[in-house]
Amino acid sequence: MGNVLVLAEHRQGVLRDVSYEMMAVAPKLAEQMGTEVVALLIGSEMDELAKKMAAFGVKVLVVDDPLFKDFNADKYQKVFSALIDDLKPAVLMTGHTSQGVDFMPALAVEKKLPLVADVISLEFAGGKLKATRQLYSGKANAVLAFKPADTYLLTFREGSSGSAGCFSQRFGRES
Amino acid sequence: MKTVVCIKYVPDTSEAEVKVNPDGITVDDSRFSFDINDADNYAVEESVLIKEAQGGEITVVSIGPKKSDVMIRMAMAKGCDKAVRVEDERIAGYDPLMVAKVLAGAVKSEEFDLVLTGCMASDDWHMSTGVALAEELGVNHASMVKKVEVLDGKKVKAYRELEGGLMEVVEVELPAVLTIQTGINEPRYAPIRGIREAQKKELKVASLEDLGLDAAAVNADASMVVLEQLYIPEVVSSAEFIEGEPDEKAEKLASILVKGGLV
Repeated sequence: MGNVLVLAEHRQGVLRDVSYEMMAVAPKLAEQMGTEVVALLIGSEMDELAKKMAAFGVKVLVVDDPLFKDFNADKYQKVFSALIDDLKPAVLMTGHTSQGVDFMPALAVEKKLPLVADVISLEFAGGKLKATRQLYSGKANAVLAFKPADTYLLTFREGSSGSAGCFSQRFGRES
Repeated sequence: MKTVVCIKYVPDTSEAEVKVNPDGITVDDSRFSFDINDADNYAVEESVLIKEAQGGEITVVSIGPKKSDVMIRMAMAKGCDKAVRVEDERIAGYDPLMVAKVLAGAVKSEEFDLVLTGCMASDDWHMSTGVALAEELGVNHASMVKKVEVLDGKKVKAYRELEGGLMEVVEVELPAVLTIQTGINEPRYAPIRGIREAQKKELKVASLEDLGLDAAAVNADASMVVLEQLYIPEVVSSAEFIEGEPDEKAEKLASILVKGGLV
């Protein structure tokens, strides 16, 4: 099985909170799936951030080029399109952020892969990946099961990894 | 400038009680009041502002039941020129990728330079349909747009609102899809004359077949996800009241903050 590939989002040289939060969620999912987490950094001069991500004990993949100094949805879509072909990740997870929402739906259409957006929790059981998300002003939750696919795409909502985990990650960021 | 604006008829659930039907995958919407999705309302206004500045024509595209004609007529009363409403119960409406395919089918039947739609629907919160639609149409896009400048009829400058109040400015070559944020403008009220004129404007009702689409490509079988269950989440209160004299309260609060790694 392919890896759980997580986009470590950053802005102006700083990792975004959602990147830490996904590092609290992705390892649990990878364990259930019997695979490993790979954190992906896309940008320019990424050495320092790569070290920070490696501190989570995950493999870090870096796409480092002045081309990627600023976020651009088309460029990110091209990178992920190639990575999906090469690495065949089981899961591709990004934050449900202004970056994730700007390219993940287009990527899903391009690669004919399933997407669940704004996920608040994940579970892999009996060979099925299920994602929970909110509807109707948060008054109802929907459970969506992915049909079998080579790669499952999902965007993860910031602030839904659980407060305890969130606090410890924030603390980790400062140290 | 030929613009298509895609709008959705959504229930207002901000004050309503939400109940799941016995089928476990739909909600009882019989008591909800429906209206245009908030962000789509801003997209309609933006399309009208662009038409007023640049000239051109606006086509409304919507997927929904007959009762949503009220919403479509209101968009026409504000300045949109014609409309296509797709009505077909076979569409897997819970999957934005399927919805985008249907919208693309409807948009392709129109000439367009620009497609505007709200960046998010207030009922299902996916924030995915507009960007998926751009890919289906094979055109550029910018999402979460808070300001639009038409540069020369071939390009627009789109200001994307990012988290933390930052703006990202991108130039997008037309044709393109822009997903519009609330607050980009001040949606107008429909003038009385506009409401009268709207009744005479063309509103086509189309089935999937009319759009040249195969139901088997956009139904629940075609969707790569299954809506398994809807449920009402348990409301948990985690508020903690700090009791005691002021200095005791301060001490307790400080220790919570230190323990949480917040100071």
